[in-house]
Amino acid sequence: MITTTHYLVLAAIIFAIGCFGVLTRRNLLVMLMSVELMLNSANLTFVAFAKSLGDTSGHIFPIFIMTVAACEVAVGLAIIITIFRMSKISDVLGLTFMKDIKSG
Amino acid sequence: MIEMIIFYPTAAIVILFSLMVVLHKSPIRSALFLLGTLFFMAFIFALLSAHFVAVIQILVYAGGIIVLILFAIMLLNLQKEDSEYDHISLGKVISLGLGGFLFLIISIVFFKMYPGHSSELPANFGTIEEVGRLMVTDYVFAFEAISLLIIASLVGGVVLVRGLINSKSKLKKLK
Repeated sequence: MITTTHYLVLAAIIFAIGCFGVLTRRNLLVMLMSVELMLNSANLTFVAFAKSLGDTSGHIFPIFIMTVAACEVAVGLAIIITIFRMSKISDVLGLTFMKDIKSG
Repeated sequence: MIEMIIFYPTAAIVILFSLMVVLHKSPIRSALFLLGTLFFMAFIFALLSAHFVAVIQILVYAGGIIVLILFAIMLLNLQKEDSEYDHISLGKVISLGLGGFLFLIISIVFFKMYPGHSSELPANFGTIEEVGRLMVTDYVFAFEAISLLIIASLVGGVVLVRGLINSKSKLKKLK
């Protein structure tokens, strides 16, 4: 018998994997992908609770989260491409130009 | 019974693929494994009788987001990161500990707050009709706000990528 807890624990595992990816990887694109994993595990939690409580409102939020994820990827990739054109850096540790901006 | 037969292999595949997303060296393989993860996640959504969400998951993620990421990787011509995997650093161990700790907290919360399993679902649970009705009645304000967000991110993306071209041509004019 598969209960709601099974789905929730699966979501927790995927969230932890995504969190590990964001913390360890130094490539901006892979960090973005790990954030997608974390957002998807949140979707899974919403859908599992929607079934458990018998309420369709839980299906609206995954759709909104997917929209937000699409916006995030569009803006994020634009930023990554701009950074890469400026300095050929795809490593997070190399991104220190904000320090070099002279104020005033 | 049938739920069990579908759930366990799918969950194993999802966990394996998401580990590969995080651990694989080449970004393009990571993107393809992410595609697999999201595809099999759609199976799990279908299992939870969220048919519309499952279809939207495949359409938006596989058709939109993954293709966009793949295009960006091909455009940037990224190399494999070799230096990153030579040694196990302290930071990686700390991140692993932090990830495990987060998983423990989340699963403890889930086991404590076990929600009651509703035996009978409403007849129109998770259908496109019901989801669409809720979206334009109860959640109409959030729906409009999301559409505003899409327009803002569209304009933001165009401005970010165009701004550099303009400044380059201005520099050429100055020279």
